[in-house]
Amino acid sequence: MTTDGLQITGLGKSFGGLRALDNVDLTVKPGEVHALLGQNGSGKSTLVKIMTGVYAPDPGAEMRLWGRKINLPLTAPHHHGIAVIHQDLGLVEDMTVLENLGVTSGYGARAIAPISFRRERATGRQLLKSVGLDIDLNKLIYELSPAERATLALARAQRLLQEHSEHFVFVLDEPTAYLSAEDSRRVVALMRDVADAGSAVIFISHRLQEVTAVADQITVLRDGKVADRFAGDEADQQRIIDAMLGRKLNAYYPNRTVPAPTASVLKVRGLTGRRVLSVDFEVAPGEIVGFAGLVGMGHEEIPYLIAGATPACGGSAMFDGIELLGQSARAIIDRSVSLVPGNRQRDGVWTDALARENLALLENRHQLALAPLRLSQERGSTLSAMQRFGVRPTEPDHRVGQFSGGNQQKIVLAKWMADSPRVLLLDEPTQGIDAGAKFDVLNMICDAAAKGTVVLVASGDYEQLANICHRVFIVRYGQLSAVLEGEHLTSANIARHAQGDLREAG
Amino acid sequence: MKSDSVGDPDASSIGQQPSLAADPPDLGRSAAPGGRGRRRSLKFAEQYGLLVILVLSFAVFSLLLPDTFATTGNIKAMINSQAIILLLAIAVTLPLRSGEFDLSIAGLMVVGAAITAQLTTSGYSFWIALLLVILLGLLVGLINGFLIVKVGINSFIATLGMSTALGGLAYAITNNSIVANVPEEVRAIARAEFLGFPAIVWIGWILVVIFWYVYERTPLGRYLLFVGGSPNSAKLAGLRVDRIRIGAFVACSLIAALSGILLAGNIGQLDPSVASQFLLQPFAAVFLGATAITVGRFNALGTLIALYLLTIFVTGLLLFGAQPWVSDVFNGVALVLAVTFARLAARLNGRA
Ligand SMILES: Nc1ncnc2c1ncn2[C@@H]1O[C@H](COP(=O)(O)OP(=O)(O)OP(=O)(O)O)[C@@H](O)[C@H]1O
Ligand SMILES: [Mg+2]
Repeated sequence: MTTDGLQITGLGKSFGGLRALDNVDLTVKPGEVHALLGQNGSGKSTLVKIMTGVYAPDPGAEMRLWGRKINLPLTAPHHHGIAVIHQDLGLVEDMTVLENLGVTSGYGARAIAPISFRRERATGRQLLKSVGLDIDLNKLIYELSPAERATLALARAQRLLQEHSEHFVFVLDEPTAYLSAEDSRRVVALMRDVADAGSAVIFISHRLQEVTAVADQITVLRDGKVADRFAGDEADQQRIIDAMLGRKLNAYYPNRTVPAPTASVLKVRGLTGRRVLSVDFEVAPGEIVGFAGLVGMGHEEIPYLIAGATPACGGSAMFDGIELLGQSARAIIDRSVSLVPGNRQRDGVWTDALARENLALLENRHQLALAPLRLSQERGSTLSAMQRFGVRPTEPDHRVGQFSGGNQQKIVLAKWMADSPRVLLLDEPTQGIDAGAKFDVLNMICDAAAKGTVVLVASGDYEQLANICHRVFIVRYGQLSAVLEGEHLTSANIARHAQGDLREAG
Repeated sequence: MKSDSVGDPDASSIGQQPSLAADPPDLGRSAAPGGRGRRRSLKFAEQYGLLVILVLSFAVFSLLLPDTFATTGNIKAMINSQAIILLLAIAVTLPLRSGEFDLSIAGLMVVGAAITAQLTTSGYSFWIALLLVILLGLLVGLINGFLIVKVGINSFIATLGMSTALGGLAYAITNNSIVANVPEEVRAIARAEFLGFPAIVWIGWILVVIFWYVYERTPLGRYLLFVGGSPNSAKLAGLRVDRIRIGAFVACSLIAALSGILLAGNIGQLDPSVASQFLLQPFAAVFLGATAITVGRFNALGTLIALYLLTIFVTGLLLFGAQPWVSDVFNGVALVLAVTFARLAARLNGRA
């Protein structure tokens, strides 16, 4: 009856009393890149998880693929030609890169036929090359940076697409959240190619520049309902944001205060890790210093090294005259140094524990391990932290895993920014956070700096770095290749230098 | 570990899923009709379901077997017979909470009992036996902890090896024979009666209360969970991850070794071959117990309830004339069912 690639009607999903999706209709035509947008917690990932059979929808929903009715809840999504990159990527932590590349396609072998490892390796290398990733196939996923993981997940999805000539529904749930502008451009190009070959593509992102660049159609969700739909070429960021938030957003970025010139308090000399090599810099109180670079260049390693989360191989990082390197995480926290890690599922929170248990973990250090917990106080302070950081729903007794991706990230920020640290080390701090909440979070970071906190932020979001930082260092091949400040600090310049293009942007 | 990664992003191993306190109000969204009431009763069923089954099964067996099952003598016998198992079950919640197995508890207890029995019957002071048993517990706990935490050996394998070695050691200490006539002094420790129950039972109950407090009401109880559930985030939050993990093994081994003294005292003799009788039941109780009270987490009260539930069934069936092997079959099946049930409950909650 119809040639529409994917057609969903009347889709609803409740979690207990919470209506995550409410009577949603969505049609994605073949050849179309369809952006699914919405505030944190608006139901995007829930829709994706229903499309892969992770959740069963409420009764009454209908789903058609290429005109054929599909039984819900869905089983075996690949057999229906649905390929998905989930928000948490779905890589197997303690298996190797090579093994992960193979799992979804049965290692190119039938169930009990032997796997040809030589062929697997060749395919693996070629896939990694096609996404511009230079890592050892034997590395464990555990050791990869968030950007490397995201790129790997992409390579794997690409394999799945290559191996099936039929048309696909390709769903990408925030694949670019951890990526720099160039790397996400590659993702966007891949989506375009896949769509042009006749597949239907659903793309979820909070980075609106990418969305307006690639989307043919846009559907905006708000509180689980479709709030607006429009064609890609009618969309501008303002309109999208208004539809997402249901209100006007006056500014994307907070005003940064210029710190009074004072002596540096954080002095880093010869810092050497797995990627960075002998890096020197100094930061004064109140300064926000950015680190940018392409995937694997080492910029994202710097906050981890200073926080002692990855052991440094050499160098020194003096804060207030005290050496930070070589100390335990515990000692570093006691110096009031906070790391907001980029890999929130692994390093940021324990998703199976309650929000308040995660938030109270740092607080608990101040009491004896066997002294009674003050549960009502804990609920109270969690509630206020959740309100301050705009976590929705404001439920201290929910498991962290029950929150949407963006709200989980806010919980991580709340955990580490709660007792006003003196040094704030941030890795991709606003990953997965929607435009409205991003302003609030950045505002809190700028506020902290205005009160004298030293802020270091590693990010692939160049526009954000250009707007909140006082200085940005470019990291190439493990070394600081440039520093941008003042009028030279623009996102275009960061991009140029990150790619090693030394001309100034006009 | 994640298995089918593409289709199943939230798959987690055993259903580690807390449920505490009452639901605070949902903010922001309208409630689905009947949703909240249903949700609350679901949660109640989850938390107290096992307790309800315990009460019901007790009532049913009492009605069917008024003369044999529902007697004070039988009730006391059921409770007394599980005293040792309860001690081991509580001990093993420690490593399990931190994400590791300890299969050496039963073997360790028997070695502790062998030392106690052998020394005291040969005329040595009880205090020397006590000192040696404590040292044994510390040593085994440290070795387990070191192998698993520092060397990185799988806990299942490391403690299986330890268990087998300890089993052999028990025979060595007792010269391959049953040590009889444990002195009265030692027997009194386990058997001294208070309010109709022997000390060994009271010690188990006191441990339940202490561990309930530690697990539900102190930071340490949480640290154990975080260290097992998310070692990286625990470490970055300043927890001494390795120390906590090793500590769990040491504390578990200490309790298991000291239980040996009670075992020797309770029976008044020691047969070095009994270890295998004490291995499965504690695990069955602990895993089944994790489906109650603080659902999805190994906890003290749940363990107690589960243990008594299993005993009621086994005893009831035996009194109906079932063969003794029923006990093993029943406990084995219960262990598997408990784990299955935890998985299903987790899925019902939209977690898998
Ligand atoms: N397993 C769950 N149990 C209870 N509530 C859940 C569960 N999963 C999601 N929710 C709730 O459903 C709502 C929608 O979540 P979803 O993850 O779909 O949001 P999202 O649009 O993907 O947001 P984000 O941009 O932050 O990723 C949220 O309010 C979330 O808290
Ligand atoms: Mg999401």
